[in-house]
Amino acid sequence: MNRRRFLQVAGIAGLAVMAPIAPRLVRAGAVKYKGPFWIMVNAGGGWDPTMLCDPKGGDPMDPKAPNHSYKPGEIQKAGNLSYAPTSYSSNSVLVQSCDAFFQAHHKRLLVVNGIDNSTNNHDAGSRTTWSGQLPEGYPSFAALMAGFATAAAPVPLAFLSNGGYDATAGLVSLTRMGSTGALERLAFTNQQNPSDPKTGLYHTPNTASRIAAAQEARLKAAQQKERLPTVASAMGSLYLARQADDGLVGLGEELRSVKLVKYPDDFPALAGANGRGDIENLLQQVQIALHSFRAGVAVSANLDIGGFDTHSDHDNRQGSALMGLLFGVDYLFRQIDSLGLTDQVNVMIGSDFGRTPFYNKDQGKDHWNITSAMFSGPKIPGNKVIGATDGGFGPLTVSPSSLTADPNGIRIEPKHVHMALRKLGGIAGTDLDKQFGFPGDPLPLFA
Amino acid sequence: MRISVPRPGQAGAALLATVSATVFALGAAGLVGAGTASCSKGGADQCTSQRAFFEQNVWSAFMSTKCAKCHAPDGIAHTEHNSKFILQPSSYPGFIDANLANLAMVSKIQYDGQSELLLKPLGQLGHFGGPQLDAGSADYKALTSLVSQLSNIESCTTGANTTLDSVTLSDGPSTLRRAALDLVGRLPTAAEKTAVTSGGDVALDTALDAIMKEDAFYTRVREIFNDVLLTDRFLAYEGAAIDFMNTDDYPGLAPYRDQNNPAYMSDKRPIINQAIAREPLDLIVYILKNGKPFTDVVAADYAVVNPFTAIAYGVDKTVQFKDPTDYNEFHEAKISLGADMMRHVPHAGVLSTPSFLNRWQTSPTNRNRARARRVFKFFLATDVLKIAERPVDATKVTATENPTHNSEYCTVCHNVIDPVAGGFRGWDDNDYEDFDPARPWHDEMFEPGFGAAKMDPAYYTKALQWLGPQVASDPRFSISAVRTVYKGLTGHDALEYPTDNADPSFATQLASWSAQDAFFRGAAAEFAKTSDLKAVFKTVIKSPYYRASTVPDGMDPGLLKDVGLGRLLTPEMLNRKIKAITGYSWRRTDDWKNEHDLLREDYSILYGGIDSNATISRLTTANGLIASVASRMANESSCSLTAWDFTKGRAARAFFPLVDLTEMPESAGHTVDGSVADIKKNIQFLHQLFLDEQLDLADPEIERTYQLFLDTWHELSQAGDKGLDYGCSGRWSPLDGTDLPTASQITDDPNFTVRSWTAVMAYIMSDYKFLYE
Repeated sequence: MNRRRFLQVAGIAGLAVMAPIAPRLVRAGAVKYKGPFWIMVNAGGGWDPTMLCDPKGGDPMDPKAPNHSYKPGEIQKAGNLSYAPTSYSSNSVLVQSCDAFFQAHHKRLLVVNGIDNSTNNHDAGSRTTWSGQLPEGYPSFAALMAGFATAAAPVPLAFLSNGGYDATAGLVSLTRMGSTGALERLAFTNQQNPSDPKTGLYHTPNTASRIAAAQEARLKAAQQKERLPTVASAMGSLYLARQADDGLVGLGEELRSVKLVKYPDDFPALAGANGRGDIENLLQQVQIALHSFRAGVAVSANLDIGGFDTHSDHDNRQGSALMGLLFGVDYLFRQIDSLGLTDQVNVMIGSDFGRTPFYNKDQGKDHWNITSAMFSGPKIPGNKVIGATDGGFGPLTVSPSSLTADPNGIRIEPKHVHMALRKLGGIAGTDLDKQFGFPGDPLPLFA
Repeated sequence: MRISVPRPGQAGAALLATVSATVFALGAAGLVGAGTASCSKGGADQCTSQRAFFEQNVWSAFMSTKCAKCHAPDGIAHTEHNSKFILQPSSYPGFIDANLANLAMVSKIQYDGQSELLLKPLGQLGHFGGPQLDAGSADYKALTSLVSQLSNIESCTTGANTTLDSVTLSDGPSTLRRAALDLVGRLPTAAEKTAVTSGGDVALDTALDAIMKEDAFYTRVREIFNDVLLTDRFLAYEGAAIDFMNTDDYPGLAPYRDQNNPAYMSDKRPIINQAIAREPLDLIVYILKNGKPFTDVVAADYAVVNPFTAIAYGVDKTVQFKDPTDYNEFHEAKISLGADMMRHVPHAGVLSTPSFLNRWQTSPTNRNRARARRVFKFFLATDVLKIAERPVDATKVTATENPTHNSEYCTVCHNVIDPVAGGFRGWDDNDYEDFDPARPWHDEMFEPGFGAAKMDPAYYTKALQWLGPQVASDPRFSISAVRTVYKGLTGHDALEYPTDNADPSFATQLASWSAQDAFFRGAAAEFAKTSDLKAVFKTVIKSPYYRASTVPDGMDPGLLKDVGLGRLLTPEMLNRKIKAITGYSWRRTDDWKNEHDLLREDYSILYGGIDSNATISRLTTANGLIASVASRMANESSCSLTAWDFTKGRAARAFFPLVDLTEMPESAGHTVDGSVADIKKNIQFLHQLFLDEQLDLADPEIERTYQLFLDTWHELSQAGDKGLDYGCSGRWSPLDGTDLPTASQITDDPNFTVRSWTAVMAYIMSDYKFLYE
């Protein structure tokens, strides 16, 4: 086990690291992780697939209708994908529509409809969607893949998360990306504002080195005198942490070339539209994740956008939330391509669960355990739909072999999605897969 | 064949009642001095208690390896042959006492006048495990001796564990400083220091008593217990707790869930959310503040409401608040659900709070078992899943009808968990805070109870009120409380019992474990008498685990596991320490109106903190990110503080009261003795202030820091650049961003000393002793 691996394992295990203090090591260049990469986009709160990729439509005057915002005849198609005619405008400026999104991206999209999450509880639903299992204890898929990759070779910030279900089950350290500027500031601790090279340094480079050398010498002297092993061990761990090649500098240098995107300012076609913090935040999450991938310091990332728990005024609020999501995913796909990551990045888009095929008294929709998910990646077939729901947004069963509708077939469950993802990620059958195994047989979702 | 068994009333008789009783054997055995017979005389004046003899000569010598595998609660001796000889694993709190109690009972089962316990290990009486001991072996002789001892009255009390007696403890003032920073985030006052310096540990106790009455202490208590309960998860956003509340049950919340109601956007909403989310932690604080028995944590038959939870629970008209805007005004109340308020909540401390019930959820198939596991983990220091750590044959499980009740593979855990799960009967499986006393339970499960005790059916409509007191009266409740405080203060979990007696360091490991176990048992025994958790804080603070400063030459380091802190401060603790010592917050500067401490926002998780949701374990070991955060903090803070402090007169300065910026170490190539002396005195002052080091001026560490100052000064003066970077200049107060009078501003560095002192400050603030305690 090399030093960096030891550090990583020790950190994950919460172990105190006891090491004799040696002269400061020269930071070795980290080995870049080259992929595959995984992005999980969470629509927090429970989205409504009937306004997206599993359209139904309905009479606006019918309280039992699944949709009031469009009629069945208004359902649209892009290749093999059907979608609802949902759109969102701000100050009369069209921001996003399903039409634009699916027409642009249907060839890379696999849609799975009629997934039975078997819960309508937010926490349990999110857990089920992203881990494949209802009870607690399983890692999110992004954490699983990061853990798998780091077991082979250390990746400094393997699992990035902006929220959603990001339990790690102890497989990997999680790095929160809450503040996009935070990592840059940590990469260049001696620069006052790393995103503005004009700002000064706190200390001259020589002084910064002098401080570090004095720290090291003092720590070494203290550890040599220390008789309590607990304290000496803690000193050793601080020493090692200061030597650790944590990949931050590499990421920081990558981020220096990136101007964080502003919404809507950086999109000329949206001139006049109001700002939306949730969209801007999602776009910046995309940037940080993809540039972390490009810097070779991350394996997977959870992206998160909320606003989907629309118990009132559903059509307006859900439509707005969905189009914000699609704006971000559209940006994600375009950035993947422009950064040359098309052959490495896999994407899953999902939510806690779906919403009822009828409206409550507040014109809202409550929780419904049936949902959909969308996928994209170099080995994921596009322009394809698997699974379906009936007119009442109930799940239709499919043949386990052909995946076509089959009244004698089975319901698609999150575990099937995750078994397929694990196969795609090359971990099916490994000890890690077995450790967090699922009962039953897989479905060939990505075949 | 003559077999005798204990008569009713004999020690251990009750333990025969049920299988599950053995799991709770500790309850019968007690925490300290479990022995019931005489001692073994080890020498003229030496006396070894039965407990110590069992631990050293029997359990660790052979029983843990030769017997425990089959005689574990899930072992074949019990599951397939109904053996009464059941040994708890070392993960079970108080397992030594529990196992000794079991032996005391089993040793009385005789065949032809001889204890079965001495016959079966030889392979006699059809022992399914065959011969395990040789009659002439030392192990067998030890077992024989133990059985003999167990038949007599204990006359040898367990002596104090002396393993750590030679450890030198920090003096009173240093201990007080550490405790004050830890518990209330401030430095001791001069009066406190004086009192403790002259008054020793008695005065230290007095000072700690006073400290633990400060509001800041209760903030720390909330942190410590949130690390266990993790209910702060619902502070993630301002509606996180309100959103899970059912407005049919809690109609008072309806306006705050209706996005079209003005209340949704009101200032009250986030406070109500906090009050609901924090109810379990606020209850714990209420108990401590008001001197209530700590057992109320699980047994209080009341809720505590402040003006905001009163709104949520619909009692804002019935509970009279002196100040309806005061979050900290708490009253005891009884809560009922629904518009008609006819369903009465069976209050049982934190267990019946909506926050706990939603944080630790169940499902229609889980049937509260997950909650039961949390009850064991949080309040009984017991990891139930460790009862049965063995492969399960799934085909045998699935072949059994209702396997959790009927399959031996399942019942080993389920006969422990399911009765406790029954304590949550009446609570909804999907809408977690909804309670209906008439809600049916799952009769195919083990019936509600706790250990050997079955729940009185009269309590079925308020089951938690039966379960809570049962948990509170279990001896493990005290152990759990002590361990929670211990971990909160030291950052360490309890040591695990060494299991490999072939390891050359086994004896040392065992001694280290025994020392800590003795400490825990002693603290728990005292706590059990008083139910005063604050006393536990003092006990831990005064122990070697918190207070050790050094040890004699040659002391085996293996005996010192987790002795002395060496604790990486949590982000919350470091944040408070920075404020306590500097008066300044390391924070964002773009919004001075609101609190934006960087260690609580941007860097909280990166510095090893938790969010109570996905990140629930604190990092206790520094990593590269943590080192970078510390470096950033030291650089930003030293930049903000150094020039600013020099804008004040000497007497008003916090960091540089002994030196001026005009005092340079050299002039025209010659040392300026007076300036050097002042510089070193100020360095000495900084070491004391930030690092609690009392150093002579001739100390090498003073010299090391001075050399950093001098070398930096040399570099800057040789470069000749007298400019001071705008960001590190003394133009405004780093406390609130207000501009300083022009006349007092420091905008350049003509003597090169501002930047030299900034380097020293960065060095000090990134030091081990600043980042750790």
